[in-house]
Amino acid sequence: MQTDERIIKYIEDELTADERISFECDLKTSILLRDEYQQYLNLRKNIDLSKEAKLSQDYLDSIVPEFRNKFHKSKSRVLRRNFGYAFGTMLIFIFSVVILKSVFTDDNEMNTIQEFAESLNEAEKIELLENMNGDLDEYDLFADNYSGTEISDLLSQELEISYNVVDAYDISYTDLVEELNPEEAEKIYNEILNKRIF
Amino acid sequence: MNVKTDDFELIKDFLSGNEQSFNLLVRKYHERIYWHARRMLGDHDDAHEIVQQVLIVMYNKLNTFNFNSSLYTWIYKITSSRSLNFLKNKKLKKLLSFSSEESINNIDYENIIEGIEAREEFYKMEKLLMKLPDKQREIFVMRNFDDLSYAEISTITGKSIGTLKANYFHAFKKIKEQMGKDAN
Repeated sequence: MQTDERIIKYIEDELTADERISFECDLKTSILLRDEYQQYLNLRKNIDLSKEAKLSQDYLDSIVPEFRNKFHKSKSRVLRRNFGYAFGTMLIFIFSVVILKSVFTDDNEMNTIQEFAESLNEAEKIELLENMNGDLDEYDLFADNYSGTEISDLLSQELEISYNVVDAYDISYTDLVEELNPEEAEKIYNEILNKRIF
Repeated sequence: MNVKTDDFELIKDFLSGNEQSFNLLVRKYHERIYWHARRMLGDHDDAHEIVQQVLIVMYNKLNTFNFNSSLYTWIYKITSSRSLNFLKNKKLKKLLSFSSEESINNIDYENIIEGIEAREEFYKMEKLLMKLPDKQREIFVMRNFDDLSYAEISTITGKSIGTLKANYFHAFKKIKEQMGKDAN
């Protein structure tokens, strides 16, 4: 065992009883060992002296308040950061939707219709709407859905006029309608409503 | 009531919402945390930073503490690992910034340590400690200044007692030699 190791083990109380006795004997006889041992003792003494250093009470008292202060700041920083992330995510989502919409929608067409509508004045808008409604009025329900024979059958049944009379006097459905006054038209209308024709 | 029961009561109180109990725990351990960090890092600002970091970890993680070891050992574990990481980062920063060796400047913090004589002795020892490699310094500080047993140091550092003794032996020898050089 080297000298240093022996001394350290002696100081640390790690030598066996025999080793300890042997070391103490050598200490009495060997000047070199005594010198070395003394150096270690000096080091131990310095360690003990430096351990006596005490922190100022002012500094110790400042530790908890500083921790509290830092901790609350970092907590609010975390909250702000999370809010920032959420806001950023929302913005990215909105931008993504806008970009995707612009990719998949024909913006030119939409813009042209919108620009055309905005370019019209009030009178032109009304005229346009009337024209659109007029197109609907021209739609002839009877002409498109019923043949002449069906109308003739309807006239003969409802007005009890035979085909011969209709042909002889050349009575048309339109003529009959034009001859009716409002009361008669109302009466016929009500009868038609109450009668299941088809 | 022993220390562990006190700690247990304080932790229980703190976890049930009593912030004052945490303050009491801090007051009980902050000085020991500071001195360990200070002896490991050799600088007041760095040690102060470690104290604040350890308190934040304590505050956030006390609910995971299960009393398998003493609170003191648990706090030491945090302080020790934080200090070593701090040293690693500091060395890395120094390497990347190509800065020269920083001298230990304690002039601004003279009032932190009370008593002129004790302060001088502390500075002398701090200088010697900083000459040791980090791992050896850690063992040396724990053994000589924090008065921990090898078994406790082993729990904190995760190293075998044989390795710890070998490190301690080298550290002790180096410091003794350095002290001899400084004296001459």
